[in-house]
Amino acid sequence: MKFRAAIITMEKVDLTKPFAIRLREAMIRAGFNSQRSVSGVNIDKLAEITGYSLQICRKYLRGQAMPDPTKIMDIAEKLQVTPGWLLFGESIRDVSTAQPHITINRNLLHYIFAQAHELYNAHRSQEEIADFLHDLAVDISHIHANEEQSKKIIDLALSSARHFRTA
Amino acid sequence: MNARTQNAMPHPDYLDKLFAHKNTVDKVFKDVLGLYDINHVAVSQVNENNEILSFSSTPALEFNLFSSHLWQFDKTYQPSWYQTGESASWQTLYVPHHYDELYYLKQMEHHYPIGRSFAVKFENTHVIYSIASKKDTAQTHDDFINQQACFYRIGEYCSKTLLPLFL
Repeated sequence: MKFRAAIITMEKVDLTKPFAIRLREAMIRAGFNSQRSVSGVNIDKLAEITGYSLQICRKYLRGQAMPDPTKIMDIAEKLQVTPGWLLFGESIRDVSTAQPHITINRNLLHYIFAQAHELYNAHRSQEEIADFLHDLAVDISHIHANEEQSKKIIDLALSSARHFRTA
Repeated sequence: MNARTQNAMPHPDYLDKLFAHKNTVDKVFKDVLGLYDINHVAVSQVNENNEILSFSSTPALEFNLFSSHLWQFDKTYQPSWYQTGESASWQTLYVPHHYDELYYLKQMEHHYPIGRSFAVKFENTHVIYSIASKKDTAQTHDDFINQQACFYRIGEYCSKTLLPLFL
């Protein structure tokens, strides 16, 4: 059955070994190497920064277990790498090259700027805010909606940024 | 018509929810954008009540699709396709009578020459991963056909990370 085959291909076991290699690499880059440990990294330190048990950390590093997505995000944050890299290993390429220009209604662009001032008071980098507003402008430039609907979408999106916990 | 074959309908707040969690959603999708030349990822869930809810890296695409009648002619959202648990090129999922409109709205407007949908079942819900690329190279075409296990894993990562937003 094709459906069952699709489910089987999603089993986490396929990812555990490569994940273990990248986890070890990220730990070494973070300075958690250990000459005393067989794995070459300090498992105690991984347990300490994540709050997970030594037993499960050892399994992660041996490629015998995979963390849940939320734990992967947590580990990635602690080791200062992206969850995508920990999981899939490829570098994130620049995807912003295709369309260098954005065409957007002047009133809506003004509305975005006017409503975005609160973001600059939050504890987030200017780069992060600029990326968010750029993406929002791109979204608004593509949607087929009248000005009123577009403003509602801008409000919703900006609200999500105000309430989001910064990484 | 029983629940199994009943056509799905957009969630009452479908359009609002596309943007209401934009900040969180963007951060998740940014982890995978760029892998295998992927420029667009969307995760749609059809819940037990046959309601469709989507989160997307290009929410304008889903907004335009679902704010018009055209989504009904995209087999991606028809149980006869998503219950199969298979994957298919976007272009094979357009009902022929509306092919041109759907091709323009989903692909030409956003410069996605390649798009593919992947259907899976999680417990009582059906989940659809929609993935597209701006690249039109032989390598990208090959990847979209031959690296499907990786695409399922990418979709699984996104859907599991976004799971709280679907509840």
